[in-house]
Amino acid sequence: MSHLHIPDGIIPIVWAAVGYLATVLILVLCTYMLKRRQIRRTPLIGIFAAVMLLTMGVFPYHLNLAVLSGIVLGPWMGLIAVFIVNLLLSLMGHGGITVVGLNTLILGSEVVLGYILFKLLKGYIKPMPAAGVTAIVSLTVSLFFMFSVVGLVNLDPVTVLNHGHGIEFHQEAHHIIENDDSHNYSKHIHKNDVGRHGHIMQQTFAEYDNSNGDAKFSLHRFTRIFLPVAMPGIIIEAVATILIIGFIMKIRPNILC
Amino acid sequence: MDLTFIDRISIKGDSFFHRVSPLAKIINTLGLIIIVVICNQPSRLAVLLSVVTLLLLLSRFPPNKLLHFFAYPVVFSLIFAVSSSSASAGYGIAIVLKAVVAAGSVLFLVATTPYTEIFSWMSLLLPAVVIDSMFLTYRSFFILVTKAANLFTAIKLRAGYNPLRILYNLKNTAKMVGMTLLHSIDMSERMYNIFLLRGYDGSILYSRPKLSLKKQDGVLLLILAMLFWMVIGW
Repeated sequence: MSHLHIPDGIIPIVWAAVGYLATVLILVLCTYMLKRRQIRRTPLIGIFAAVMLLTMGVFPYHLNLAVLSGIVLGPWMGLIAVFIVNLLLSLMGHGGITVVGLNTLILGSEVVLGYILFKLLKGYIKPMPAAGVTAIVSLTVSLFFMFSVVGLVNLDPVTVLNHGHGIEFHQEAHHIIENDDSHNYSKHIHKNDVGRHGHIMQQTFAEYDNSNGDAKFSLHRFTRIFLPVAMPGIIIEAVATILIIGFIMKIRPNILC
Repeated sequence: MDLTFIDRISIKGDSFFHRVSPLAKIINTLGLIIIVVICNQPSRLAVLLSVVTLLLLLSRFPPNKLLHFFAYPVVFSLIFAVSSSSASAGYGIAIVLKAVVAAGSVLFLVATTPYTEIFSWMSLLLPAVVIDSMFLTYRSFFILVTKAANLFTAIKLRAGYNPLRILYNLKNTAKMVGMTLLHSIDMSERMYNIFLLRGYDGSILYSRPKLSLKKQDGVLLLILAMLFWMVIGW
């Protein structure tokens, strides 16, 4: 699994609305560009979206083919195909309906990067290695784009700044929780405020408060959980993209961008 | 992904909720999603989940399939829930419940409303090229599923798939996807030519969505009003 469809309830609704707005603008631009370039092959968009749905749900390995759709369809048709895939998936509970916009932006980044990089690289190296490099770079960028989207809309700036001290901070947090029966954290904050780890302790206080109600999302923990799952997925998707491009090159090379 | 199952149950289903007008079901789904956004308490979200599950069961959605459909949002949201920096279990439960309730409410809409009705409502908001493509995606998905399933069976019969040999499988799967892709491109060319012959000028005509409500729609809207009262007024 090289990607993760964000479910409902994770992203604040304002950001979900921003995602929808950005996607609508992109769709309007895509429609305009298709009209301007007189590309009227609507069935190709629909059928490619169907192939993407098929590889996500029917074939083994949960391939998403967004990079391949960028290479074959180009950015304008590819972005529309990705939006359709996300919308139809959300109707099946696969990714949230409120975050179709953001999910489209994330997968759409693979389409755009796929198109640009492949076009750029195929002038210098053979199509198969070019497809491999394109897939790995596009999928990795898209993955970190997803991390950024999820992280930035959920995190406190303080948490982001203390990101590098994650382990140290957790150890201290646990130490305090274990040694304080009364759970009076404000005392600890004042005691340690002037210490070497004053900023970490402040964060501990914030986390303790969050455990009682308004909890915070930890990008650091999320990355640690999802990255080991996503990296093999990226490699599998990249290998699949190379092999599919190789197959297309043998039979019908003229369909590539 | 059981798009085939959803398609069948939405068209051939014959429950009370299948007879409710699409407008009422769309209002219900939007309302439920708004409630999910507003509500953060696990207890209230659990009540919402019970109501959505009951609606789905009353619309004759098989319980085993329901568990299967709920598994997607549970797994995805669980990754986010365990990423919480808090030790609070309530926060994690709320995240998972929000994802499942939202998915369930959308599932209720698509399982009781034929896709043509849903697409005709979407055509009010989305550009023609997107709606046409979506319609074709839906139609061609079923054709491609059959083709891919036959291809996959053929590969298995010729020992082209072995669960223990990942690279070997990947190689054959890639060829299978490549073949499906080329087949689908040919299919799109044929479809486009047929469209042109039938006077296609850039958009397919859909019937306009009906804006009227029926008597039985009141039940669904009453449930929604009660849920709103529960979340806001409780």
